[in-house]
Amino acid sequence: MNWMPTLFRRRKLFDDLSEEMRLHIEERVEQLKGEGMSPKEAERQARIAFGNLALVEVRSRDVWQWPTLESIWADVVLALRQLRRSPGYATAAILTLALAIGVNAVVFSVMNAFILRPLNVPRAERLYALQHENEDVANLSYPNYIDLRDRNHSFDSLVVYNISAVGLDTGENPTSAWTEEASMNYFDALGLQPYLGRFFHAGDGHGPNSAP
Amino acid sequence: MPVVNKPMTESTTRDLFPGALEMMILESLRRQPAHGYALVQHIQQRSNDLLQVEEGSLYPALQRLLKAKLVKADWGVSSTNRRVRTYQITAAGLHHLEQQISSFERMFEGISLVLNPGRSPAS
Repeated sequence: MNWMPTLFRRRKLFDDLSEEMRLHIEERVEQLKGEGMSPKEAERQARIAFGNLALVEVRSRDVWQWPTLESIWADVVLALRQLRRSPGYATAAILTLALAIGVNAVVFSVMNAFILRPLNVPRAERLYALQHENEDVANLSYPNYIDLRDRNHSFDSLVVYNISAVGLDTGENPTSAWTEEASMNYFDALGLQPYLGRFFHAGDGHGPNSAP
Repeated sequence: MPVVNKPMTESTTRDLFPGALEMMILESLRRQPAHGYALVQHIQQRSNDLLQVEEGSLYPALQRLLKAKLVKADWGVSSTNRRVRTYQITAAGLHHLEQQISSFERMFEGISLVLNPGRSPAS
């Protein structure tokens, strides 16, 4: 990383440049005065002939600069200075931005979860959630599920699950954990295979209070 | 870099094509090392005052040449006893100038052929 020496070298380059342009105008003034022009008029004519001194200096310096990085930094500095000058406007702008970004983030999270990245199962578009018409949440007793499952002609299969919190004790430091109780055909219906071992299947159920 | 083409009115300024000023600076420096002010004088005199280079526009061009190491600059004292920064063409600058002149001549020849279809450009 050799930007430190470059910065110092650049200071020298810019000093040389300013000095050189000053001497240029001075030489022109001397020449015009030598031709009989008044000092004031000579100064004026010399500056006209030179052109826009500030612009020339900026363009000359630009040659040595990393254009994007430094102009972005200059923009940031200018923006901060202007924000500091009018705090009311700055607050309004920051709040507006914060709100807008917040709303966008929420909308994006929802879109991302439901549309951009749907459930990571094969043929997710063929999955439906069923619930009674007059209930806010899907709620179903297991016997009702059995009835629906046995009389189902509309879907390939019907699964049921229940999410609940349980206490988990492995011998020390009991903790709470989230569990999902699911019907035996759960993984088959979703079309999921584990990388290792096996999931349980419909034939593994042996009635109430039994383990697969 | 705006230049005023003398025979036209003051309002019709025309930009030199990119690299033209650099080429003229290098050619002037090939003849002899010079400082900025002397370069402007030289270019104006050699062009019979047809090209009036805005004096300031010389400096960005000189910085580009310096950065590309086509010229080098040293502070010194001029023949009129002024403190000046004198520019000298480097070996790379000479090489670059040759290339630029030959490419400019080809371009100029092409333009001449289009503008004067009946005449050969050399005549």
